[in-house]
Order: sequence, then C-alpha cells, then structure tokens
Amino acid sequence: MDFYRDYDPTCDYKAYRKFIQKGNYRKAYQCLERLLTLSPDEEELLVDMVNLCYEKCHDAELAKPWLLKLLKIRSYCEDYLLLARMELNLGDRESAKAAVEKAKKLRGMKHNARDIKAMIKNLEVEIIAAETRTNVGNTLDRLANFVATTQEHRRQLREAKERRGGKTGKKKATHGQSVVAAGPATVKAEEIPAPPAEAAETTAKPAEPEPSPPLPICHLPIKFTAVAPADISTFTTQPLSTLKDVQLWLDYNCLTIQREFGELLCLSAMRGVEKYWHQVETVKKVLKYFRGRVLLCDEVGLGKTIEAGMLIKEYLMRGMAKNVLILTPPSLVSQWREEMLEKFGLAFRTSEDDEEANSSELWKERLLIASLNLAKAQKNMPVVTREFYDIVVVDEAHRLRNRTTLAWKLVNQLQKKFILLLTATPVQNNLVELFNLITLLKPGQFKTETLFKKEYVKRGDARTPVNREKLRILLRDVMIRNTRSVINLKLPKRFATTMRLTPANEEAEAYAGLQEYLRSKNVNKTTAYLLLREAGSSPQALRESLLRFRQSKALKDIIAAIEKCPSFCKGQALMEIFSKNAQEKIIIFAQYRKSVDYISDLLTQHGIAHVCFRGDMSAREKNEAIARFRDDVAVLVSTEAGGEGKNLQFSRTIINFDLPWNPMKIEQRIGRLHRIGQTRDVFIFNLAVLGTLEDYILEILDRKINMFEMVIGEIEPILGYISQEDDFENMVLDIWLESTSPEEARAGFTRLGDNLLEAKQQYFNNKALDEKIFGDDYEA
Amino acid sequence: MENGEKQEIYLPQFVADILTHHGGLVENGEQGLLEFVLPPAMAATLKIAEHGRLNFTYADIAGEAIDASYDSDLFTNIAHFFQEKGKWATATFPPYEPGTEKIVKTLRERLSLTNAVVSVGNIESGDIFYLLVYFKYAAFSDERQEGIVGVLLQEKSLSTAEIQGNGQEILEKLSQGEVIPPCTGDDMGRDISIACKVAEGMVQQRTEDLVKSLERRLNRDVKRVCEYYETLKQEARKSLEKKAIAESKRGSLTENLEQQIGDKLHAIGSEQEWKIRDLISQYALQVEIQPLAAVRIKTSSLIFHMAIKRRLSTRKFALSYNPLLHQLDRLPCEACFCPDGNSYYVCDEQLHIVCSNCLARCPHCQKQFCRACHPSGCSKCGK
Repeated sequence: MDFYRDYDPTCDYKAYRKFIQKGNYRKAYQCLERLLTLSPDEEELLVDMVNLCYEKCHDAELAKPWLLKLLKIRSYCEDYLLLARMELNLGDRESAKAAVEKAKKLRGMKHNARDIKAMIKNLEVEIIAAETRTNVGNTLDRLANFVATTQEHRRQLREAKERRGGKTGKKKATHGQSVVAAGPATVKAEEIPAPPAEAAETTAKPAEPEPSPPLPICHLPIKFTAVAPADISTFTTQPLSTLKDVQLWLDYNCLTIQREFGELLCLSAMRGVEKYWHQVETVKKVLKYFRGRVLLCDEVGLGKTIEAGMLIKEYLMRGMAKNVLILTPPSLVSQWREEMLEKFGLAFRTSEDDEEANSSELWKERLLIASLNLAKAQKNMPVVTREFYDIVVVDEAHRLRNRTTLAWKLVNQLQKKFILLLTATPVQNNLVELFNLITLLKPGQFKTETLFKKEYVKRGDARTPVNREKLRILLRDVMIRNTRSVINLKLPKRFATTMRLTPANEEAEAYAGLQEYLRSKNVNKTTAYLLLREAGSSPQALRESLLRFRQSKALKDIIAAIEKCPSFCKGQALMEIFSKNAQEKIIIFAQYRKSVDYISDLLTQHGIAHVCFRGDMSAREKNEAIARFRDDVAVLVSTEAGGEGKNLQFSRTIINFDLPWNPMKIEQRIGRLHRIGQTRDVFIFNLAVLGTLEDYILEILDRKINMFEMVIGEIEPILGYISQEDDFENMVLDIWLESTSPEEARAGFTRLGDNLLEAKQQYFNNKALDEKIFGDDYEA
Repeated sequence: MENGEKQEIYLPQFVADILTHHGGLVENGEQGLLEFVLPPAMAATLKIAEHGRLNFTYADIAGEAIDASYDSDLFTNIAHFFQEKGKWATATFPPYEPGTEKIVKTLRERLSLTNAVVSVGNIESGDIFYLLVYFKYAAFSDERQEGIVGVLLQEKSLSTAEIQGNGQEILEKLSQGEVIPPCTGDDMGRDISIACKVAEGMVQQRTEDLVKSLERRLNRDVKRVCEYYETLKQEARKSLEKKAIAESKRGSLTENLEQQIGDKLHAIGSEQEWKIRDLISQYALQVEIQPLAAVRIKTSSLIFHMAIKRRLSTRKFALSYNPLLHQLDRLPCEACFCPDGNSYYVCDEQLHIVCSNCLARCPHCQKQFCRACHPSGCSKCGK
C-alpha cells in the first residue's frame, strides 16, 4: 500500500509511466492493474499491460490473460502472432499453431503484410523446432539460432513500425497501435533496465546458444586390496628360516618384478618362432605407446598373427590380462588355435571344439577363439557383450569396415580393455572404412564421420585423402603398418613346376574305385575328406586307412589294385627330380606318415641318404634331424610340421609330394624356405596325378592365380574375398562330391577358379589403394 | 625397490647363490654359462640334470645348455625352494648408543605434542626389538607397476619407519649367532597388521604418479569421447532439423519426427555413457599388497622414558634410539601408524598419541574424536 501513500490514486496512469521510467515494474503493474479494474475494456491500457508483462517482465504467463482480454475487443494479426509466441514460450504448441493460423487469416488486411508474412514464417519454423526438441530438452543449438534470428527480426520490425508510427502521428499510435510494435514511447530500448532475476528465470531465453554440457571429470577407481587377516595369520605361522633364506627370497622376488615394456617377457616363452625386429618393435610400441589399442595393418607375410600372439602372451605373463577373446573368420579359427598353442603355449578353446559352441558358457572361457559370425549371431551377441574381456583380437578386421553391420556393432559394444584389430587392407572402398575402424579403437580420434570426410577426404573422391600431414599424425596414434620396403624384405624369386603325372593303370583303377565307393555308399563327408586326401597323397596312405574299414568287395578291389601296382607314378617322378638336382638340398613334404615311410623306403632303395622329420618326434630328435640335413644328407622328408621356426634356408628346393587342400598350408611349406635369410631363388615342384582332386586344385591355384609366385600370406585375404563362411577345403570337397562326371567337376573348378581370380584382382586393387594412402608412414 | 632399482641383483649371481646355498657347486664357464653339479634332491626340485651348464641369455647356444633366463622353467622352479623358507627369520643388529646429552638437548623440540606436555625422565640402555617387514605390491591398469616396500616397526612403542630401497644396508649388518625368541603369534599378527597400514601408505605414495598419469589419460579420453558424441548429437539435430523444415514446407510434417530425434539422441547419449564407463573400467587401477618376509631384529640402545601430561592425566611412554637408522624413533600415531606430518596430539580419553588426521572432527556431527579410542567411527554419531 506504499503506492497509495506516495501517489495520488487519481493519477494512476501518470504514476505507471513514472514507475516504468524508474524500472519499478512491480509498482507499474499495480498501477495498471488498478486502472484496468476501473476500466477493463480500455484498449490502450490493455496494450500497455501486455507490453509491461511480456516485453518488460518477460513473463508470458502473466501477459497471456491480458492479451486474451485485448483480443476480445480487437482482432489484430500482430496480436495473434504475439499470442502464438507466448503460447510457444509456455510450451503449448497446439495453441501457438492455432494463433498463427488466426494471424494468417488476418494478414491480408494489414498494410505491412510482407513483414507479417516473414514473422509468420519464422514462427512456424520455431513451432516445428519446438516440436522436434520436446524430448531432448533445450539443447537444440541450431534451433535456438532460428529463434534468435526471429527475435532479431521481430525487434527490427518493431523498430521500423515505431519509426512509421512516429511519422504517421500520435493518433495512430494510440489507436491503431499493435502490441507487437508497441513499446512505451517514452522508454528507449537501451534505457530498459534488466528485468528482475525471478522474471528472467521464468521466461525461456532461446536466443542464447545452448552451452555445451560440462565435461565430466572422472576419478580413477582404485581398488586397494589390503592384506587379509587370513594372509597375515598364514604368514605368521611360517617356520623360522635363516637370514640367508630371507635374503634369497627377497632377491628372488626382486628378480620376478616385471621389467618395463622395454624388455619383452614373451620372447623367451615363444616356441619355434623366428623373431623379427619389426615384430618386436611393433609389440613394444603397442605396449608402451598404444596402450594395447591398435590397428595392426602390416603387409601380408610380415607376421600380424605373431605380433598379436606376442602381445597376448606379454599381457598374460605380466598379469595384466586374464581373459582373451579372438574373433576370426570361421575358416581361420583352427589355424589360430594351432598357432597360439604351438608358438605361444596358449591353449585356447574354440567355438569349434564341442557342443558348448551353442552355450552361453562358451563366452565365459578365459582363452577363447570364436568366429566373428558366431559371436554376432542374434542369440550370442547379448551374451558376448555382457562379458568383460581384457583383450579382444579381431583378425581380418576389414570386415568391420561398415559401421552399420552387426560385426561392427558387436565389436563396438564389447567390453574390453585392450583391442587389436588385424588387417592387411584397412581401406578397401573408401576412407570412411578407416574412420570406422579407428572409431572402434578410439572414438572421437577423428571426430565424427562428417567432420572426418570434411577434413581428410577429397571432395568427390572418397578414396583420396587430403590434409595428409594431420591425418598421419592422428593415425600414428592408433595404427602400425610395417611394409616390406621398410623392413627391407627383399626375397629372391620363386619358380614353381607342376608335374601332372599319368597314373599307372592300377593306380587309376584304385582312385576310380575309391570315387565310385564314396559316391555309391553315401560315405559321410569327414570320411570322404580323409580318404580322398590320403589317396591324393599316396596309394600307401589310402591302403593303410582302408585296411581299418570293414572289408567290402569294393574296398578289397581298391586295396588289391594298390597292392598289384609295381611302382607309383609319384615315386618315379621323385627319382626323376633327384637325378636332375643331385647337388641340391631338397625338402620333400608329405602329409601322411605312411607317405613319408614310402618315400623313405624309395630313397633307401635308390641309395639316397636322407633324414625324416615328423611331428611326433621329440625336440631333440627334431634338432638332430635338422642338423643332419644341414651337415650330412641331401634330403629331408617332412610331414606338415616341417620345422617351423627352424632355420632351413640353406635349402632352396621343395617337392610337394602331395598337396594340402588348404592353400595356406601350401604357403606354410613354401615359407619354410622362402623367408628372410634366403639368398637364392627357390624352386618348388608339385606332384599331382592326373584326374585327381589335387590335379584340379593345382590347376586353379597354379595356372589360374599363380599362387606359387605370390607373396606368402596373400592367399589368405584372397580366400577371404570368395567366402567368409566356408573354407577352401570344404568348397573343393563339395564340388568333387557333387560332381557325377569329370566334366561336371571341371566346370565346378572352373567356376571356383574364376571366383578366385576375381578375388585376387580385388585384393590387388585394395593393396594398391592402401599403398597409395598409407605408404611407409606408419611403420613401427 | 621398483622396476629400476632391482638391477643391483644379477640373475647369474642369484642363481649361483641359491645353488650353492642348497649344496650345489657352480663355476663360471665360457660364453657366460654357469656350470653346475647338484645333489640329486636339488636337481629333482629344479627338474634338471645333476650336472650341466646354465645359459642366462636368450641367444641360442649350441649344445645342451639349460635355459636359465628370467622366464625359464628353471627360474620358475627355484620358487620351490621357498615354499617353507625365507619368510621369517630372527637376527641381531650391533648395538649403538649415541651421546645422551646431544639427544636430550633436542628431544623436547622433536617430541612436541600440540596439546600436551612431555617431560623426559629416566634414560637407560636396554634391548630393543624391531620387526622389519617387506611387502610386495602390484598396481595394474593398462600398465603395471610393481615393487617391494619395507617397514621397520619398534615392537614396544609401535613407532614405524619406512625403509627406502631394499634395506640392504640393514640386512648386511644383521647376524644370526644369538638365539632370539620369536614373538607370539598374536603380537606378530598385530605388528604385521600395523606394518601393512604403513605399507599401504607407502604404496599409495609410490603409485601417485601412476594414478595421476592414468587419471590424466582417462580424462583426456573421456573428453575425446564426449566431444565425439556431442558432435554426433549436433549432427543428428541438424540433419533432423533440415528434414523437419523440408517436410514442413511440403506440408507433410509428421509426429514421427519428434519421436525420431528423441530416440536418436537418446541412443547416442546411452552409447556415450557406456563408452565412458568402458573407459573408466579400462583405466581402473587395482593394487594388491602381500607380505613377503619379516625379520625380528634384536638390538640395544638408549631408551628414553617420558611422561606425557594432558590436563590432569599423565601417561608414561618410552621412545628408543634406533641404531638401524641412526636416529631417534619418531613418535607413533597410535591410530593409523603412519602419521601425517609432524603434528601430534594427545586424546583426552586414554591419552593416545595421534596425528592430526586421527584427532579430527567428525564430518557429520563435528565432534572431535580419537580414532585410536574409536576405530570404527565417531563416538557421537557412529559415522
């Protein structure tokens, strides 16, 4: 009631103006309220009231009832626009829309229709924006800009109108004055004091851009496992020792304290693996600088698997990891298991091991190799992503190049500490694939895809990078790519000769008999696989197996045919090669022990000194065999375990007495000689009997894609292009078993050959692209 | 005795020491090899032949030299020798008595109690028992730090001292001629528990840099992840906003759009959250401490008998001169045993000597209480 003490009640309007000038809006409001009580339909008073509430106090809620009263006595387009804005501020979009519609109808009558049209448009945009941001709070920066623009526009409009009003005379200003345009003529914009804090808070201020949410400050969780009382009591009950014992025990513990990453613990724990400097450097770098999150993109044949194995072993030995998940294409699961076991002594379970493949328990295994396809299967994905893995390795990681695929999503969602992505060809189609891979390792390293493309990809050419230096700096944080040129790996040439041998009649009879048997008896696939491989190796190997079967007439005939045969074509061919290469150290590879025995007998018969090397020999026997081969004898007859990791580069001739159906196994054989340290050209002789399955395989591998002249390791990605699911051995077996005639088999193998050729081309294209993008910039 | 400090111990020397200590004969051979002859039982324990040569390098040496590198089976098998040995011993340390006058002069300054008065009484020579306890710790996150810390504890006053390095200087002066009775299991349990507390503090100090480094990297990664997802959100908004305007112009604006943007931003937000959680668990540090070995040491030196007076109460307390460290034992904090700073207080209830941390006000009810009297929490509110 101060008001009544200070001012004459009959001069309310005068008082109102005075309070407005002083910025005392509360008292100004009281004056107007009192005046409106006395004259509720006074248009000018209502206009002033609305202006006071909305323009000065920024209180839409307070202003709205006054505006509604005003609208009862007049219908101005601008008033409805203001109502729409108020409704919008109050969050009632439907009412805002209705008010805009009403304003639209009244628009035609106005002299300033163009301005009004612009305002209507702006309001509509704001309404849409408000609709879209309903669920996401007030963080729509972009839309806020719209609002800001609109407000600015409105302000300009009002100022323009004020100027017009000034020109047209006071009468118009008092009678035809719209609320939007109206501002108390006596108060200039710059004189308007800041609204009271509480009023400002109640009004949305969309014009100000939304600040970015503050970054969370994370504190490192530290789990301090203090000594348990039980440990103390165990300790105190220890028997009394000598001081020397205590000293030695302390020294022993000092020695077991893990050294820094500068010294790798895994090196001495690896078996039968040649360690190359680039691998050691890569491992050290990943441990020390990459902290176990890296994209390993070494060129094929430089040992990505070895590097991954070393990292796994190192982390396990240092106690920094307990469980490991390796995800590979299905065809590589068993190969990974073998390598981990043989080279690192790590017994991984695999998804192929047993019936547990379908159980959720499988994913809890401490050391697990599983196919990526199995892991991403609908039933497995939720289970896998629930587990925490210390190390996740993804082989052939280019399969994660697409962010919309399940494979990418799976790896993204996996809970992991360390992650190793292995691929020789990270970019296959465009640079975004690289972005997707890096995002798995370090989200945000290249910001978002849009920004990545904007900054690092040439416009119109998604395969060409720009801003290379910056790209290189950022990529070097997450990627290692050793190339042959960097490690100066220049190997001598390789020459392959395939000898297609005509079988003796009995041999042909036996092979034909076997085929007939397999097709007529509906023999299961595993047995067929075994028998055909043995037959392809040597008739002796086949005979050995057949003797263990229940003897039917067909089998007896096959065995009889083998036994009747005076000499086998492969044996003759072998002797022919020896006669022409008498001075050479030769390694003969055969898959079966029976074949090795046959070769050994044959060599003995011909007086050729030789030594055998088999997987079942002890380490000492193996070393002795290699030493004898190096120092004394000219021939080493070896099974698949042909001295991996042993130095055999003093020899340069390989005879593939038989041919593994898995091309990677063939590469492994060649790799025994054609590797770092080999200074002479390498010669490979492949023996295949005409018309056998091996003959067809050689046809496509040798003649079609020149596999024997390719860099070791390249066949793996090429096979990956033709099928992600099935392995090559299965494919050839299926073609063979499904063919009812040689013509049919030929057609099947031709198709497979064509696919391989296409895959090879694709691989080389990708390789060239990667070379172009990365060059030698990312070596360890 | 962290990673770098252990280099004083050489593997060949250690292996030679342990073989000879258990009755083997060793001789240095060519190429750094160590030739040995072992008793059958020892050879069986180590799972090697009774005679042969040991190779300490990773290089392939022709012949049948046995791998004795850090990660060899032999090195692992050496641990069998310590299954029942090496954890616990007693020894004597040469007595030492410093000049009394010099110490007494500075004693009052050194033993200042903030809220009590100390008066030094009788000074006498006497036997003192110390417990030297070693702990091994391992702190691991995406990197690992290991080390050994030593704590020296005066059994009577419970004064503690941190041993720097591996305390080799102390160990070298210890002898085992005299028979020293081991302390009782209960006392030893209590002493080792106290030593553990001190060791924990030492480990916290030693891992400080590691924690800082991890926290810095964690926050750097969190920042990167946040920026990434915030940009993603902005891009999503922009894209949907464009769509909204386009649809609105065509007059085909649907209600779904609102839902769409909500869902999309929610999904991005959720992914951001668990990516940050993932980062935190990736960096989370785990610290494990285990007692390794303890030596009960008997020595002799000066013992200072004191009276601590607080208001009307008096408590007798004895502090000794420590011949192992050549200094007066520091006052213990009878609550945490690893006093923070040099300010000591005496509590009103039992006149415990406590550090400022252990006579602090309860953060909930503001009552000051002694943590030695009330180890489980505030005496008033129990928190």
